[in-house]
Amino acid sequence: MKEHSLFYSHIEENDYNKEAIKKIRDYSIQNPNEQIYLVNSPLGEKKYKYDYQEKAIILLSPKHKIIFLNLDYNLQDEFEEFVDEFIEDLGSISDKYNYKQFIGRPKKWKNELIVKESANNEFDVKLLFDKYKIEDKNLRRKNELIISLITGSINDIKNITLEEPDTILEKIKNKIILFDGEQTRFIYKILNKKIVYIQGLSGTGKTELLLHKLREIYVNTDNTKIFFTCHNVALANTLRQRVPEFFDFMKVEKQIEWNKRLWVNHAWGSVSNKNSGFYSYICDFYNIPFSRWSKTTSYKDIFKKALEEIEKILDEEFEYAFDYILIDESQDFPKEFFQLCEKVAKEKVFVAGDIFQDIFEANIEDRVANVDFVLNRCYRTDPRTLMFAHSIGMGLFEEKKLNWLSDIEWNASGYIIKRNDKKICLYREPIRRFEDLEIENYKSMIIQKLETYEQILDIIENIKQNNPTLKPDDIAIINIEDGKGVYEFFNNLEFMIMDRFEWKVNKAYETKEKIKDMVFLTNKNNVKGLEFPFVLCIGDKIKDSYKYRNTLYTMLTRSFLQSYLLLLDDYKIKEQEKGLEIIQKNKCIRTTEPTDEEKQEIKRTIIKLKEEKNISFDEFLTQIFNELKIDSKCRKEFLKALPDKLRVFEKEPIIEFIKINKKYYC
Amino acid sequence: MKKFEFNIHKGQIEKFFPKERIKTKAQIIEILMESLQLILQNNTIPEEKIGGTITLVVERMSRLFFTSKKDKKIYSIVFPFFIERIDNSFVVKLQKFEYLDYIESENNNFIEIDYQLISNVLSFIKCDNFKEQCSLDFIVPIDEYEQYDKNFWIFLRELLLMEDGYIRYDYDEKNYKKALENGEQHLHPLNHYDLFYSSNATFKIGLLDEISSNDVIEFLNIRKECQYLVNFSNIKDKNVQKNNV
Repeated sequence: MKEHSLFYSHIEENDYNKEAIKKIRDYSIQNPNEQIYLVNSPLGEKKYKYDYQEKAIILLSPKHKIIFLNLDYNLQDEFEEFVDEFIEDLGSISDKYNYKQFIGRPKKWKNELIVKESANNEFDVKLLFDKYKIEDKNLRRKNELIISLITGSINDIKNITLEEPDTILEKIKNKIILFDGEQTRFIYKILNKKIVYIQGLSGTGKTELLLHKLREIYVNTDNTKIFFTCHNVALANTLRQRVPEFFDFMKVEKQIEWNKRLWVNHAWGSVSNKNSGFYSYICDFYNIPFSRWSKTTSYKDIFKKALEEIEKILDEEFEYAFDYILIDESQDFPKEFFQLCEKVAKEKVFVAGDIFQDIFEANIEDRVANVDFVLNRCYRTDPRTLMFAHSIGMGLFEEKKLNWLSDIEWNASGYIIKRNDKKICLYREPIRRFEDLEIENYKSMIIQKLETYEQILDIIENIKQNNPTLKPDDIAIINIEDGKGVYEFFNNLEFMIMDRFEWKVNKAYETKEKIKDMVFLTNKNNVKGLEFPFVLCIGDKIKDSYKYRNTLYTMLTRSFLQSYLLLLDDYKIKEQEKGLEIIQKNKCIRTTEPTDEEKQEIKRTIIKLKEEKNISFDEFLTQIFNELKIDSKCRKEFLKALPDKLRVFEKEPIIEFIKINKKYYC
Repeated sequence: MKKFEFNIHKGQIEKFFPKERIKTKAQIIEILMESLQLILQNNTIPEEKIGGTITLVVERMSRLFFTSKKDKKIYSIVFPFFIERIDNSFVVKLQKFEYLDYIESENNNFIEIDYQLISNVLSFIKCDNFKEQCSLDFIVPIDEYEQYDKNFWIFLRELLLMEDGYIRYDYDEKNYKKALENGEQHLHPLNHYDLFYSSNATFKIGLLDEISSNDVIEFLNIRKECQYLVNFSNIKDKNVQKNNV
């Protein structure tokens, strides 16, 4: 049976515990918004085992005390001993992760937070939870920290305060992270297959989970070779920085043996350094020729060729290059890459990505079906912002929708559908990170017409005043347009920010990295994997092209507190405002389902678009010229005169340009 | 003589006067690019917020002079472009005919430098590919930028090959005192020029007196009468005496 995403049981079922687990699971189905974990030993710490653990359940749920359930009331003494041993071990785990300074000694939290109960016939989960509900905010935090220790969802204690902070910004930065059921399952459940696929919307914690998985493998195996990779160079650099920091706070005692046991690098690399990337290592290891990406050789061809070359090796001579391979942002790769990984990895390949990153991906349904873990709870973005981003991306508030998902796809992206004929409401479940924040009256998403630069500065000023602890790097300003104007815009903005706030800015399109204490400025290309409390997206107008809408969607979801969308033109702003108001009020996207014919039309358009995407810009232009029957002699003139701004895969503006200039060039 | 002055906002002064002294050509290119951004913007800055000045002097020679309000440091590098003033803004161009066998047309002979081109250069010299051992990896970003701007490589090559003509006037009390204590004041005179920047090439020329940024500009202006180095031993004692007073 597929568990829902907030319930996780790590207990092997037996005759003693079967009934009780069923009761709790049933309760969880009735109360799907409550996070519940069942364990009988601390997760993530293999060395702790107990004689009595088969006859006990530890029931964990945030906002409730930690409940030890005895399943055999004849053995009360043994149960007591189990509880004592468990608490002692928990005490030493708390020492290990430096939690003690925050939660105190076991003697203290034992009295405050540990309770013992018998799971006899009358045992009722609801009564139990009611009885042990915690009201005090600070005690809740302490309790959450203990749950995080038991479930292995370790928080970097340096960043946590025991007292709940005052401002929303600090509260959210300080929220204790507890992995939900599906996340915990991914870390601890072992599936009986070589390639494991994880689908997760951006912000669902994929990278974090891969790091935990990496640690699990690294700590619990000896002499294994592990490669952790992704497509994007900047992201690979960030990952390589993060691994030692992560291992450090996770108290991994084993030294990291770089390029001997562990590689963290992007998927290509250079021919001169075998450790500079996955592909370069494979070429070196199997002694096969190194090909390079070019306009005529795609990555798909390169991987296919590499696999073919490796397949030629005789079985008795074949060696595995790695034991484990972890892949992040898998949507950036062609499937040939995973086939190659499957071939060269001895044990397992973990593939994490987000097929919805392109909200116009064709055939999502088939791909969702092959996924082993679906993370659909977005912990980064406020659900209201995410709903709005999806809506504006797919044109859900507009007469003509740009995309429509099937029910399975809506579910996989975390939506609950409520239908009333063609009228549809799409809901998202609330998220722990945003619980109890009293953000009801706080707008997470704001859309405005942009009149002057000053307006941007005033917004920053306002954010600054409402958040006294705000740092420059809490703000990202993203210009979603193409073309040269973007660069001028940022240079002007840099000067104004520096002059008014005395803040430095980080032009990420130049530096390609996040820098502390500087406002992050970028075009749409350098925000992969990043999140900010506040994001200001600047654009000309809500264009109808698919690419533009997808960019809008991705950029708006970069914030975890507030996203602003500021547009020079008010085209289609009204519709969005109306839809946004309903999201604010009713916490749902209200829209109408397209007719079957409209859905067909949407599908056709998307498929055609995908085909166009696979051609070069020159081929793209040639197609347009052919369509417009432009004489081949005058095409060169058009090419010369085509402004940079139009040198993108957008058909309509190019057609317009050609039509206007036809009389000059033909 | 064309002479333009551009003020540097005190919040931006570190871009032009980095804490560590300049040691590489990449840093020179970075400063040149930042200067171009500043020139194109030509912002008006109130007196109290001015942290320094960039002076562009064009007169057969073409140089930028950087002066900081805080320190008595002035340095200069070559400005290898054409500049035109149109009302209150500037257009900067690179002439590219040197590399072409033929001249396409009057208009095609110049690359107009815009913010995008500048940002792409900055991004390129800061990226890992720039340090790659393999030439083909080196060209990956160049190829990428060329798709948007066909002049990128021509522009970049000009920057990589240009003679930057770095020279700095330094008034450095701290290091002079240290040198004086060790009796090595002639290894580090109080007032001096530093020529070149890489450790294999750089050397000092001592100066007897403090000089102004105008003196530096005059010194480097080839239309002005040139200055002479006088035999060191003749003035050595006089210099020591003077600085000890």
